[in-house]
Amino acid sequence: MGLLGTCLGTKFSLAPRTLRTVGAKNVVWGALTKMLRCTASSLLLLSSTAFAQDLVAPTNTTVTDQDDWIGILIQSANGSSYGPLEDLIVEVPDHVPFETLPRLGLEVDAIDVTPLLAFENQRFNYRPPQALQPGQHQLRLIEVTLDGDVVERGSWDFTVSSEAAIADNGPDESDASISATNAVEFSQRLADKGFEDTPARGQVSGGGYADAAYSHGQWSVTNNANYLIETQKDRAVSGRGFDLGEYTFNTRFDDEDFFGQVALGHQSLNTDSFIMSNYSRRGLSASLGSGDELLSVTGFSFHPESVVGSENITGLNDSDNRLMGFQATAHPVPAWGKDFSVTGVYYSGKGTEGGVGIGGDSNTNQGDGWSVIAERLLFERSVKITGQFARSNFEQSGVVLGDDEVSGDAWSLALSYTPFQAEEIAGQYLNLTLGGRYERVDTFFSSLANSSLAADRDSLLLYSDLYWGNISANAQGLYQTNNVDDLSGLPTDSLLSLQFTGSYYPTIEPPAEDETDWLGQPYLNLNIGAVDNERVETPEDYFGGSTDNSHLSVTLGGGSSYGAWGWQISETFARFLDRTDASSDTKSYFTDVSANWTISDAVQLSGGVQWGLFTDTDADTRTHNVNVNLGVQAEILPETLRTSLNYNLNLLTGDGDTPDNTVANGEIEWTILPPTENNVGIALAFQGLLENKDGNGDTSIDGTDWQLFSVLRVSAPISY
Amino acid sequence: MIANSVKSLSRHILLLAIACMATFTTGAQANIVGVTTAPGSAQVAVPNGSAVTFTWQVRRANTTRSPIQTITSNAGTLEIGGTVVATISTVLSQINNTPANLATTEIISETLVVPRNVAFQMARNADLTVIYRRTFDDGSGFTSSGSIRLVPSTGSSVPLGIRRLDLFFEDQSRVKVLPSGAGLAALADLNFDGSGTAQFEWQIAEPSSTRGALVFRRLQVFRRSLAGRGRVTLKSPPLPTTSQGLYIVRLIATDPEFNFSPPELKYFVVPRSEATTAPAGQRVVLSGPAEGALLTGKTEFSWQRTPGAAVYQLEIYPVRPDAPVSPGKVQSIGGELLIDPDELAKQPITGIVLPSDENKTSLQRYSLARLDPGRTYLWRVKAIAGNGAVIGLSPLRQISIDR
Repeated sequence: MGLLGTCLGTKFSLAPRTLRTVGAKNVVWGALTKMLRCTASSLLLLSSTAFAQDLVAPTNTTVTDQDDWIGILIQSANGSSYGPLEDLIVEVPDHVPFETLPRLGLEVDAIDVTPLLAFENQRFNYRPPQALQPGQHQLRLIEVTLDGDVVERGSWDFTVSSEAAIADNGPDESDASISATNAVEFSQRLADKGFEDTPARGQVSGGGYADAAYSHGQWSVTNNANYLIETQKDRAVSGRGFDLGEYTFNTRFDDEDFFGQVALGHQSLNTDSFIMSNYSRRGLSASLGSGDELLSVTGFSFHPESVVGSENITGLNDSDNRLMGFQATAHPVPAWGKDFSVTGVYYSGKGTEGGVGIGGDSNTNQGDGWSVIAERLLFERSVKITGQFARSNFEQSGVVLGDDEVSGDAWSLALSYTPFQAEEIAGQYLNLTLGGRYERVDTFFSSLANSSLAADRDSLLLYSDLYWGNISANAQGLYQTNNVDDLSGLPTDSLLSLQFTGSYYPTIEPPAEDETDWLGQPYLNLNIGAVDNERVETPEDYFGGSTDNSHLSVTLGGGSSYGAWGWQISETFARFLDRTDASSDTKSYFTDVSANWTISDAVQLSGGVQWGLFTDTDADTRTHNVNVNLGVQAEILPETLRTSLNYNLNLLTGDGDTPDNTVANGEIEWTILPPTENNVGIALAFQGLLENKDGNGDTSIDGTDWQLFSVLRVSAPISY
Repeated sequence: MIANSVKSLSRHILLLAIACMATFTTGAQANIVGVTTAPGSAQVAVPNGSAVTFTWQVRRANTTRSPIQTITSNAGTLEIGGTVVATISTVLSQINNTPANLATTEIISETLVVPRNVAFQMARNADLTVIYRRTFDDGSGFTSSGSIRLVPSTGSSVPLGIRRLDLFFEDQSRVKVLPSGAGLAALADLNFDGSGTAQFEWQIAEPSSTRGALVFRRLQVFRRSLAGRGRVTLKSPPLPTTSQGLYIVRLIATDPEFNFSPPELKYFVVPRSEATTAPAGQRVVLSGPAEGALLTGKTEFSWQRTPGAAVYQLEIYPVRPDAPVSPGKVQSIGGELLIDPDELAKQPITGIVLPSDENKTSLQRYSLARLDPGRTYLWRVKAIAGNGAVIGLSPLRQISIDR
């Protein structure tokens, strides 16, 4: 890849490295000729305003003997700073030889942007595909000489500000876009055999997602939503034939001094503390902060359950299921800048913790909680200290006996130190971090805003992370006790966990083609975990059993990948030993082999085999499990006719034998009319599924069931 | 009220007397004579609650009645210190066809999920005795009660059990509509008690079954050690998005089994169209170079195209120390690196941007010059839509610079 420019809609690509070869020169000269024609044409289209722009002298440019020219950065539209999406234009002096142009490159913040450059009127023009962040940026013009040396032809520091964008766009200019992809399927079950629980033969299902954006000056609005159609209501996302899935409506105002934002729908507060997890919830939030992001405050009101659908569309309709609160982050010490931050969170509310995608424990309670997190970075950020304290107060529902209100605290202190950051040791670069974290979460600590938090633990974690050349290793030791509230009548158990994870990526010189390159680049992984649970303290007259068990797990894996194909294998051994005989001692072996191969752009294969042996040494039983997956995808006629096939075999033999199960499904699709912007697409497909069960002697289970469908697909992509 | 209590007490005394007579009288008419459990006690994790599995042993005396009878218990009660704190309305029933004149013991299994509010009260009243009681009826008027003692314990001393499962996609959504070929994976956040090795299955129902009889196929079967912190996050293999239509994905535990209906996630695949803005969260599939490869001027970076991308940005970052995987973080096994994406929020050391019609490139000499010989780096590819939104990211791969 080398220079790539566009001229009057024509693209051309030049590869500086190929200048060294005669054959390549012809290509380059062809492209140069093309460029020359474009340049000549463009000269006729020169804009007078372009010539009127000011020029910026380069900074930090080292001029060598062979440097006889430097590039010129055209000044921004407002003369001082650039807008986030404003074009960056670098002019090459007229006397620069034409054959030099293909050997030039442009970097923005060390990223090579040459492939996106347009060349016109002796100027390279770069339009950022993403808005540049407000602040300082660097632009660099480079030449790769015929000798292969890199010569800097200009380096500029420039400032981007959001106000500059406003000036560029003009006060009345605005930008809006909307796009949606929609699809509906009309299916008919043509034939079937064996299945008992089948719905009506004709079904309609569909889905779509829409994005809309609008910006005007400092204001921007972004929305997105998805929606589904399903005539089988028990398979619809909310039990309705047509319903909204999830959505977000976001409005933001940006000023140099402050920003404001209001978000409605599914959102995350981007926080992760004892009191509040970063899970997405439906609700409303409003944020206000300083332009330099040193201070921000967010008020929120969320539904504690995970919800989809249009019922309770704001997430705020049910006062018995609602959380309210705020989060504030500040960097209160100006001298420390962003190296010191304090974040506080408070919530209050009541509700249930279940919802879509959640199974099991679904507690209902009400209460409130708060947490404060302080983080400090020291010694060139090689030391990080984090402290957190949280308190929860909640009222447990359904309590008959005793008080239903309880409070709990949680706090942690973490320290990490990086003594080696890219230090060369024994010829290899070494990165090493050492750290520790102490956590104490009370037995009754519970937050409706963090349902998955594991409470009742007093733990100390020590760890090290090492990257040394091609070796990486993580080791950690954890000691933990429970019954943190020291409840009488409850035992106290301890847990000691030692974990090690290591990887080795041997550096292999790229082999010559047609030899052993298919072996690819290998890697090895090793995971070892050992856990020991023991009883620390047993209360007097305790009626329950003791705790004394250990667990060991070792996984050795490896694989290799090269271009279009790759494979991996892993072997896991696990042993569980219960010295109290409350549960069985077990051993298991598990082997996993998988591979994928992209034969061509049109054909892809994938497959894997998993084999497991599970032994209950107390009961002297052995169970074998085999799972096989194969898949193939093929495009028979490009963008017209394609097919896919999946095969799955699952066997469970030995003690605890279960029926063998085979599932195969496939599809062939003919695209009659491909969907294009604002035009309907139509496709016809045939799908089938076959399931075979073998009862291994129980003939009542034996049998093969199958079903076959025809599907008419209509899609409508919309974009404005 | 008092009259009812007296009446109930009288009835129980009468039944007890009849049961005793049946025990000691040959040829008596009585049937159920006693109910016990095995084991006699079980530990329950507090204050969150856990499941206990045990058997009711219903003893029948000799009978001259019809041998085919149904033994039933309509509900059980949880009592703390003699106070009923909850009623479990699960019906237990077993048909008995023992020949007449034979004393037998019927075995009925039950898995009791102790509700969280009961476990909460057990923890707050740990000095009081907790029992779970059931009354069995043989259908002919004879009843007998039995109970198991529940002992409050900590989460680490009960048998391994999954208490809660939270399924969501990588972008934390619970329902998705996405174009065909887009990358997708599900995450399962598990809360568990006890320790041991559990076996799981990621299962998928594809459009060829969701529009008819529902059939799940196994995407992956795996065992996972669960110990210690009571929480772990599991990641699914890449979910299929080739065919259009409705998909349902779920995680099933086969050993030990869930004591609740497994939750499901639904997603719908629509045709891929370059005309529309692609949704965020796609996975850019890397083709080469391989993990840990040696970077030279000839090394070609390549990846599969991402729907909706306007440009690709290849980024190179230094390998930096990573914090250990904390509870709740994704822990994947294989070639994928465990790096928190937030660690990569800063500016890359170098890289290159390409228009969307190019999905392979090598680095220029001036870009290579920014990298230190002998050092290891991470690289990834970012897909950017025409409106500047990042709609896809590749996993990270390591690459080393020749000395």
